[in-house]
Amino acid sequence: MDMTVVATVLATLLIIALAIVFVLGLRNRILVKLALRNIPRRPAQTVLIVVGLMLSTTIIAASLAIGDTVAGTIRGTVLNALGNTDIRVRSPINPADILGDSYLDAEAQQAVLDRVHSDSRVDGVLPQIREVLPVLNNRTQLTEARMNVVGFEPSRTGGFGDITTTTGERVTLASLGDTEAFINESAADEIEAQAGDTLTLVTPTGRHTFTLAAVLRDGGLAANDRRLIMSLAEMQRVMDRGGEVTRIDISLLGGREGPADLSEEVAEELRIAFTDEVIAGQLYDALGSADVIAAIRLRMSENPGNTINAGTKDDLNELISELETGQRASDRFRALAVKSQVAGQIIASVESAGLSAQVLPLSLLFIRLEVLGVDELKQDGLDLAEFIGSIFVTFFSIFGSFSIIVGLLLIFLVFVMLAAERSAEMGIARAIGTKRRHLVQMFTFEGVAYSIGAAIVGTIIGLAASRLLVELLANAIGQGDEDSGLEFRFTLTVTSVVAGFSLGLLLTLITVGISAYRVSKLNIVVAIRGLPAEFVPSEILPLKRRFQDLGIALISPVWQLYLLVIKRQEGGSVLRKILLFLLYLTIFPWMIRIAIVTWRLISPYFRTGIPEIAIGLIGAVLGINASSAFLFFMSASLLLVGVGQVVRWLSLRSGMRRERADRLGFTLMGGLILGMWALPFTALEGLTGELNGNIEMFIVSGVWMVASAVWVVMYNADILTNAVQATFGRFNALRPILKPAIAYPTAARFRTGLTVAMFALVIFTLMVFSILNNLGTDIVDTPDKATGGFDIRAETSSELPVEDFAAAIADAPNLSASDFTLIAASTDVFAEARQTGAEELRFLDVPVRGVDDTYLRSVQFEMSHYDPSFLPAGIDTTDKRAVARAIWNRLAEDPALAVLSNALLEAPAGGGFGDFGAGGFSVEGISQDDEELIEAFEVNIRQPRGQGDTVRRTVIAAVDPFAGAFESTDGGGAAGVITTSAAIFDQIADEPVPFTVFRIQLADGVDPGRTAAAMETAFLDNSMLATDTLQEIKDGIAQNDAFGRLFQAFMGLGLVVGVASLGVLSFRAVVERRLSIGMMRAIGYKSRMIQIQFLLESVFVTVLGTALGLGLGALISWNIVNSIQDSIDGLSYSVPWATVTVIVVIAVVAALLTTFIPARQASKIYPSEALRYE
Amino acid sequence: MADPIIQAKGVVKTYRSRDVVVEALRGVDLQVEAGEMVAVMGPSGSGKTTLLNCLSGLDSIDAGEIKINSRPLSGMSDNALSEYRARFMGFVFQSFNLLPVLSARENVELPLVLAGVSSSQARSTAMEKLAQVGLTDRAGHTPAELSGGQAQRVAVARALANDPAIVWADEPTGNLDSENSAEIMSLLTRMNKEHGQTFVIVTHSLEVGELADRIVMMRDGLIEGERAGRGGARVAR
Repeated sequence: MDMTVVATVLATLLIIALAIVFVLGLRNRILVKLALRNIPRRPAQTVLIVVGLMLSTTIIAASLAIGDTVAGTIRGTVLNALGNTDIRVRSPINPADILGDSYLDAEAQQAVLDRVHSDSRVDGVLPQIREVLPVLNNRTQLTEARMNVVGFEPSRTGGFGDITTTTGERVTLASLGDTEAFINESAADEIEAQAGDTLTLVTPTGRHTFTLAAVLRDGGLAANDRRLIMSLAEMQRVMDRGGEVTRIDISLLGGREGPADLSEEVAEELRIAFTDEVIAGQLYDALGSADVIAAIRLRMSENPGNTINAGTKDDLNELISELETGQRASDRFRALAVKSQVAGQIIASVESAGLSAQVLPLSLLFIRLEVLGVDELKQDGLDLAEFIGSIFVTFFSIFGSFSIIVGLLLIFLVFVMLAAERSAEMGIARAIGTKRRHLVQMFTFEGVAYSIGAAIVGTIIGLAASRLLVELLANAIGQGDEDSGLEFRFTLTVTSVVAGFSLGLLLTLITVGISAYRVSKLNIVVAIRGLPAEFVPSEILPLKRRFQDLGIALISPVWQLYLLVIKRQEGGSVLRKILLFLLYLTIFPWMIRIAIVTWRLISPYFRTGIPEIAIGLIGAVLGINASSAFLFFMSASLLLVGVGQVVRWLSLRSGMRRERADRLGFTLMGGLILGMWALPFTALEGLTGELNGNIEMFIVSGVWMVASAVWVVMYNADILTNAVQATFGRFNALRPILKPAIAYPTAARFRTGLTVAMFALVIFTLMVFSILNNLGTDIVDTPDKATGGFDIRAETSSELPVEDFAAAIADAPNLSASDFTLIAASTDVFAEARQTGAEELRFLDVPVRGVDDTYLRSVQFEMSHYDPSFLPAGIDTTDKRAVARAIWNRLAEDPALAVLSNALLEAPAGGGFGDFGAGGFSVEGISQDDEELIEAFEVNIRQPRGQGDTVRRTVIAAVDPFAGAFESTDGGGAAGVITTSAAIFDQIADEPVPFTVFRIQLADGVDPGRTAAAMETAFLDNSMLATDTLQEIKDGIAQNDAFGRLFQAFMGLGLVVGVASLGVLSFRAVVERRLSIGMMRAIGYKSRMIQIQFLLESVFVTVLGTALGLGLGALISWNIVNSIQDSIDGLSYSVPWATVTVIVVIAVVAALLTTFIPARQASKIYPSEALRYE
Repeated sequence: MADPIIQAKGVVKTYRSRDVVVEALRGVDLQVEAGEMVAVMGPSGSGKTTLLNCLSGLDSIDAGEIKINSRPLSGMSDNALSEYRARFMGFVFQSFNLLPVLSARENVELPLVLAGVSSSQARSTAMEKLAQVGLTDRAGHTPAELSGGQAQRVAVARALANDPAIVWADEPTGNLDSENSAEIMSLLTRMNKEHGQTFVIVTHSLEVGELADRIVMMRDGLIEGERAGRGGARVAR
């Protein structure tokens, strides 16, 4: 959803809410005065309350600001990289596709120029060549293996902005002579280049020398990659591509950030213009046949495997109506047919309808339809920036949600405390005739004052916190990869500030409202006598009265009319009646009133537990039917709540004492719920079938587990008390304070339970996170699983391939052939694949890795899944390495076999955020977390866009996800590839495919880092990038750890709430227990003992909450680890004791620090003074 | 004869709050013999409670001298005073002042545990004391589950748990009806007689006062006079 809309809605709701409060305040100024008077009276408590209330806002604001920054950073990077370029026209063949030639000839260029020549929306057209080539600075002898070398047509740079040197001089491309070039700052830094240096540029045609005319500032045409710039003519000369270009950039009016719809409009027109008219006509005729239309319709209605998204469905429908108009190859038709999603679905429709004869001709038509590719470069980049920003917002909000929940709990607790403090006062107010709603209003006014203060402070602190987190984030990313090109810039949009502030304040206000309502329901007598009763059950009206109320509510407007006209004496003033009458006519308030009285009618029965069981059962069944883990487990929990209630209710009816009945009921309820959530994830699958859950289940399970564990503990506190006393009672000095120190918190079940729950929730997330964070690190001990057993990975440019690697090493003066034990070669090419027998009939994109025999005979990547029938007899299947070796050997023996990455299998239900890999090839029927044994299956592989022959491969295993998990390559190594013998290239490619990636095992004692560096120098002409694989893993892990710590710090914010809550409780306790403290001092307790008692109480609560959080976190992590262990082996569960210790120490120390002031206050109470309050 | 257990000479106590200065005690002299039961009476605001607080070391004094067991309280640190109270004194308050979160037995145990008595010893002594006040069957109940009279009997049991030399009682019957008052007072006088402990009781009630050996009358921060109570028959004076 658009953030602006969200922010506007939130702000509007907030303004309405505040307006209502304001109007109420105007009508009851005395209440406002009474409410506000409380705030300055206790400054320390006010500060604590504001701190507690602000946390939700802080977390929301921080999440949004981080999202803004990430989006802003990517945006900035996109804009810097593209300058004024909005649209790029390129060859229809993907430039990343190494099997094809992506140069445009003069005719194609002319077509583009003609097309946009007279277009007033276009302010620049720039034909150019861009290649990635190695460059050597002859003066410094520094090299850049992957320089972006760009040649622009000098006469056409208008509209793309000025080019400025680092000294601020404006220069033009036309000023460059032959063999002269500019370099941008990023590249100049890398090879320490300055104006006047001579550079050697290596191209497929050989070495070329250039002189640097100037160093350019990054941005605009100089972009922000490492870039060497020359004239198009020079570039054509060194590439031997006279008259050709690789792409034509188009700049639209509006400079760097033009209007988005303009870009969309122009791009759409260009796409239509660059379709082949003749082909479009033929395609129209081919698609127009009744059986093809019927096939498309059939597929849409069946939508197998949900492979057709809504947008494509709309497109297909529109296409069909275009086909039915008979208007041959209209612009609209061409615009639709050129979309690859549309084409793919049509081919699949035709194929599934059995019209196999039409598949090939249709495919060819679709391929030939697109004459030139049109990319909406800038808009796509900016959209991506927004998208990634929103992912960060989601991620941080989800991990912050525990803290938000905890923050809201604190607000509730604060209000209960405020009410307890004033219960006598309020009781008297009620006794002399103050209405309940006046109390609600009074609390609301006070709460609103706190909330506004808290929201302002919270937003500011949230922004400051996000600033800090961004700093850490930048460091985390910088740690692994200094070339990421991302330069973090703290960005903030007004939208986010408004949304964060509004949402935080609204949440706080809602909680304040509910709390105020709840605490105002006091029993007057109880309140005046100051009896300890945190909650008084609301009185139940007689059944007849409840029905009457419902009847009246059902006819609310009529009833108001009746009161207005006939019963004038009842129901308040005439104005009020008219207003209510009009209000009810707007329906919504009427519905709310009906809902409230209906709830009042049925709520008493909830005490019996029977409605809970009924609703729970229905929900659970619905949950099973819908395969929804959320619905099922929520309902099952409700059902168990009902079971506990029934037991409690029956016990009460059988005459059991309330105390015991509560204990029995709540212990049973908590125990059952805890038990259910603690079960391994799949334990109930026999009963429920497979359920789908997402990340929300983590939050839900945490909340339920903590709540139920706290129930159990608080209702069985005596066991705990005895245990603590048995343990620590031995210490004489502690004995007199130990007993009250435990007795007080365990007696105040509600407040203590709430605080324990707050600590437990926060610690729970921290624990889960640190355990899961700890999992991957055993890869350091067995790096072969990630590196394949190779020390160096060397990648070369496909344009500048190495002919004979071994010979080249032998020739290289700075390399010694004896250092190299093994050289395994491979090449990743873009291809498309289809699984035989799958519901998905389309060929979808997937990289294919062709590898040589050495690779297959030496690689040590392990398998997550395999077909056992391909293993030699008698192999020990528990030896993962042996199994993997056997599978690789089979691939070496039989080039028709293949393996594929685990990532290409079906993702486990509900894994991850959104569909990142959407649109790419994936295997049906085998899930990543399935058992390891599979049956071999076949895939058909061919070149992208259906070119060339189709080759069949039998997939016999899936490679473990650790394989290459830390590789950061241009091709994106971890996304998943199909690996098979390089023999496949002979079948699918039209020309020989050179090996581009070399994985190397070094002799013992040879330094991989130094060798990698030497290789980059020796293979400069091949644009080689060589990586020390072990170092890469270490960097990757360091980066992950840095991210981990970042999130832990973020989630740890919740601890602030727990601590603030302890402070609130302690301050309250000092006031409440003045008299008792006086008495204790009188009978001989020293002041220090009182202080220690208060501190001990806090420690007790903290340790209890922390222990629960740690225990439950460890438990659920164990379940998580168990459930993913099948798909990722080598995972071992271990508790990070160091982190646990840090968490406990921080929690306890923070608790001690906050309790210090109130504890000191308590100890300073003078006994005679305290006793005078009698 | 030994020195009086309580000796007060020229005790002055002044409370100041902002502009108001209240002279609560304006030079009180009082001596109480060991084993004596003294009632302090007088109208509201006459300084009864202040006197009790000062004598028991709960409050400091501005001038004069107080000696308990011939030991001057002035100059004792807060900690020393606390320990002194724990060792030699017991307290009974008008509003019972039991810890609400502990059972009757645990409340009685508090002073014992404070004195370092072992858990099992504390437990049996507490039960013994509860038996003396007739509440054995209520030992496990919390104060909220006790009636006012029962609660005050628990408070008396707590005050006597350590066998203190002096028991201070501030309006011990102030919150009780006449029947319960009589019961508490008979309990106190019985303890006084049986164990020879010194009792100083602040009270409004003449009936209560009459049970003491001696009644000290206060007015405006001074002792106005004193007379023997009905219990005073045995003290030769």
